Amino acid sequence: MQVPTTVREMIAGLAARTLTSEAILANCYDTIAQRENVVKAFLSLVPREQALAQAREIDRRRAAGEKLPPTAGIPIAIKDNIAVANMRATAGSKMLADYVSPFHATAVEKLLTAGLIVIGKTNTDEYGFGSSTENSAFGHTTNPHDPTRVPGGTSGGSAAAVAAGFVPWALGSDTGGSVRQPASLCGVVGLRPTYGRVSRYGLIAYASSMDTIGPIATTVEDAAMLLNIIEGRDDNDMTSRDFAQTQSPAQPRIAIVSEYLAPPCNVEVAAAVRSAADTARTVGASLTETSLATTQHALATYYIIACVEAASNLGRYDGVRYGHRAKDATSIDDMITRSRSEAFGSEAKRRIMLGTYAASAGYSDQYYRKACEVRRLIKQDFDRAFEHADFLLTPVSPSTAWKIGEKSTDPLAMYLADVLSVPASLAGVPAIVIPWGKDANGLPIGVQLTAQSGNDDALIAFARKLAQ
Amino acid sequence: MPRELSTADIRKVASLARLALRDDEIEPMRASLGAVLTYMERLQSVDTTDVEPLYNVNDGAANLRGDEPGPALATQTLMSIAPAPHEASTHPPFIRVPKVLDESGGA
Amino acid sequence: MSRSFDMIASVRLIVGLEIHVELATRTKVFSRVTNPAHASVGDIAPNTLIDPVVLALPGALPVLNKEAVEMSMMVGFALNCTIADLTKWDRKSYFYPDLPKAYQISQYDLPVCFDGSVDLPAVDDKGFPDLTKPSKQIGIIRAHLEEDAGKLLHEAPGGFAIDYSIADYNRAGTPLLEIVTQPDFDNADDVVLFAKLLRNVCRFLGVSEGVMQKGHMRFEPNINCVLTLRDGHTVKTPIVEVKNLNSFKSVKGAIEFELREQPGRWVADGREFGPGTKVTRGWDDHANRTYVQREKEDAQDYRYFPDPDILTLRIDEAWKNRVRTAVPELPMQRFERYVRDASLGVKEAFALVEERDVCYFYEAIIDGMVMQGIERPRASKVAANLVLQQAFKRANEQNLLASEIGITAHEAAAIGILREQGKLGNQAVDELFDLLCTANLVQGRATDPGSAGSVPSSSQPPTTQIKDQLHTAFARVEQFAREWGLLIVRDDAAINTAIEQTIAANPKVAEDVRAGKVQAVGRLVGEVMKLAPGKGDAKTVREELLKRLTP
Repeated sequence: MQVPTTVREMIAGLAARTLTSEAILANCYDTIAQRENVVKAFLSLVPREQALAQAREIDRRRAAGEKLPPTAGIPIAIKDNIAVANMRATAGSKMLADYVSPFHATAVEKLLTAGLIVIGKTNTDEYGFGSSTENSAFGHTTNPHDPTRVPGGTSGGSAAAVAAGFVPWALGSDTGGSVRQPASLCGVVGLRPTYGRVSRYGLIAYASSMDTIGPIATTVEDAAMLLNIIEGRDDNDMTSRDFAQTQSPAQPRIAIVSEYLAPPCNVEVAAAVRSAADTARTVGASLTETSLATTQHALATYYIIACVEAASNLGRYDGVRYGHRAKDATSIDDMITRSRSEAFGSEAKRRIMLGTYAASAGYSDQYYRKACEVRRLIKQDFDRAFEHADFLLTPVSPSTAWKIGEKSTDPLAMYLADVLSVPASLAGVPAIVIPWGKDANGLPIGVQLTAQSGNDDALIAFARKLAQ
Repeated sequence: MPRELSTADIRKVASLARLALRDDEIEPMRASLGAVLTYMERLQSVDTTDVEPLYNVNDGAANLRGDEPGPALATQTLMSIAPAPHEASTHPPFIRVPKVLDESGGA
Repeated sequence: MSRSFDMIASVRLIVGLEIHVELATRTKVFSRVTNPAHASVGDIAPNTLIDPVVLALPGALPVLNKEAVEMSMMVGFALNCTIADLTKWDRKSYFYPDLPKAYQISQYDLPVCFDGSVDLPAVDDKGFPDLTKPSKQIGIIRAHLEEDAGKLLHEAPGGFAIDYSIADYNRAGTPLLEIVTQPDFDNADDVVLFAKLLRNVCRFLGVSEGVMQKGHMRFEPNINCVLTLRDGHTVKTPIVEVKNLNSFKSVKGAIEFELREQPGRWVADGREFGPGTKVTRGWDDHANRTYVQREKEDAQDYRYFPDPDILTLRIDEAWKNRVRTAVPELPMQRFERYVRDASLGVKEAFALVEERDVCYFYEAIIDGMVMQGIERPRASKVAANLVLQQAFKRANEQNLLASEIGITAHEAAAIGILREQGKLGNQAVDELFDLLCTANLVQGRATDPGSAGSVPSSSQPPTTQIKDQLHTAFARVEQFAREWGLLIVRDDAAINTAIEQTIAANPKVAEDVRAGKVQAVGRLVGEVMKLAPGKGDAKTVREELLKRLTP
């Protein structure tokens, strides 16, 4: 039985009874067996027999004529900062090495309702702090296109799992680019939905005002299908919303953003964006160039806000109710302090320090409040751009995948890798990354399309057109 | 330019954040935070007069919850995720912690 | 400069009050698990009212409870506050094992309610409001909605010593309304009166049961003094905040203790009011004194910032109006009305407004009587007597509220009417009241319509329905009275005979009355009623006696 690579084809095969879920799952596990020892995408993997048993049960019910969701029996991998009941949820941190979530994230709940089979939890930088998946307490993941290079991050495990063919799709999370950038570096599709479109309930918080669960897949269509399963307002997340269906105009106005193509964006990446722009014209789009002057402030704004929220969100890891607890504490403060110090990695500590400092008395106005004010200017900048354009066409990562270890000693260099992905995060707008050729080293390049808040469907529709 | 971060600043922030930094960790932390904060200084040049801070893009669209009860988590579940049994572990059905002496907690 | 007590000419007390009220929502303020401050919750095992949000499990998110916001708004209206058009919640960060997220969700700069004021009545020498004297204005700075923390215990259940502490998270996430007054108090009695009135207000609004023993209300007075020195200078002592007082007695005790101690502290250390001089102290209930609390050094840097999980909330006029109309007439307004319109004594009127359900029970009796044609002022008096005498007596014996003793308000109204019609004697009123209470409790009728204790709904049931209920109750009461021989069946002949016998048997008293001591007739009335029970009412007998003994 030939197993296709896209979910769309899998669904067709299952519906036509030319394919079984068992065959799909067996193929996944075979691929994993071949390559996982190099890629190292998973932090936990459901045992093969257990997953296959689930698949067989779905096949049996489908064969018996039961009405199942069309996606029933399709496998998926979940980033390990998203809660799946009775599975570990480490968020890549030693703090949660043995923590088993007693509840499902809302997005996971919806996946299970759609009949998907969760086969494992994927690697991530600790709590989403990084851009390369090197900051995981459980070792780094490698890029399936070159094992000496990073897969990007922080959803590096999910992106690599899809790129390596372990799963047809996966859930990642994107705070400052953590779905889009690894998708770009691994040559797959990554979608950051409008902030609030997908419930954050069950997503281990990094920066609550920007955290977004997003799909990673091999095609735009599959990513869109996954979004449709997980989206929707949730009573367990006050910041979640429903959005009306939107359509892409027949002749969309595409804008290239000049600031994004200047250094640090490298030449090959900029060329790919120009080439994508040419293709956009051939599929009926009109092309303009626009300026987002606030882009130069986005990275500083992002890191201040993200770190303030992160420092606060990580306060709960105190060793009291769950997670790592230091032994032989002499006092409650000693216990809390040592539990945190022993279990947090260096980047987590750095961001906690930064966020604590930027929110502390005397500095809060200068850093945190100022950043929130600039954030509004950034949002207004996007609003102005979307008055004249339906979609912005930009790179998402200034470079292709870099060597493992190359940037891990210089935090600022690592932060600069996010310079093109964080503006959309601050503005809360949807953005999708699609593969667009390769560089001289044969490494994938991705281009990013961004739309106004709520226009996810239109964005997806145009991205599909462009990708074809 | 920002005031140079001192070693004392680093220790103070670490204490607020309940992080213990070894002596040999202080200087690298001071250097890297200093570099990042210097980079962030660029925001001071942005004119934000009369600009309201943006905290959450969905602000003002709050959906409140009705006062209807939902399920509780079993006490046993809390006990099962509570830190593994050793010196300061669980005391079912409570969570056990080292003796707390000060009284500055409480809402 | 050395200081001594001799330098101090006078001491003026300044007190501002912070009150934490646990709101009695069904569920917690940011999650769906049951709120221990809700009336339905009795004793509960430790760590049972928990869920992912309460425990701050990774991935859990707070969702704001609308009822908690509306209860906060109601209190705001009752305290004449402005209700915010835009309000938000902020994170107040500190590490403590009873605070699961290491931050408390509170409100920093945009509280739900602000800028209110309350008329605090003057009190008479017995502590009751005195409406003849001018009231004082107590300013309300703000009332904000936040979450409570869990509880940290330092001994095991049963009082066993342990060399560690244990945490129970049942209370974590209970909605707390923190009300902050201006420093407008100058004596402890006013603070206590304010606290009591606030408790009554909360009960009337249905936002809290106000049970002090359960910690439904906790008080934190901020106390300092202005010392006027003999040389004309004034000195302010540093503010002392006494934490977590949970009885009126301790509020009074703590303020009076500080008033006594602060001048002496100034004499001893010379410390004066100024930035950073505020200290917090605890209260020792046994020793009747405040004491210095250990504090964390970084406790003052709470790093407030807006909680990104909780969107800012707009409160539009329509919503405010909806909540405003749900605010019932408040206890002090009722108190004034009772004193003014029903000519009740302040003690009686105050007793009637102490409990919301009793107050509603009382007013339902009045309404029932008025519907049967009794004038409202008269009905108010009769109903007050029924509640304060018959109902309170029974309630005290059984440790219940006067509205919970079994008799319905309509039945009580029927008794009042029979009494007014001269069909029931005093003794019979007592007996009938008790009979109905007992019968209803046995039959479980106490939840019948008209039993009061239920909050009057804003949409009143149709009057005809109330009238039907009233008629039913009336018929039942009359039948009871007849069956038990309590009704007066007028028999003038028997009464005449009894009057003649009484006058003959009490010549001295009869002579006194003839000589003009009219009040002596009361003894004769009693004798007549004993000789001819149920044959006539006391009023008629009295008139008949006076007709015979006075010209």
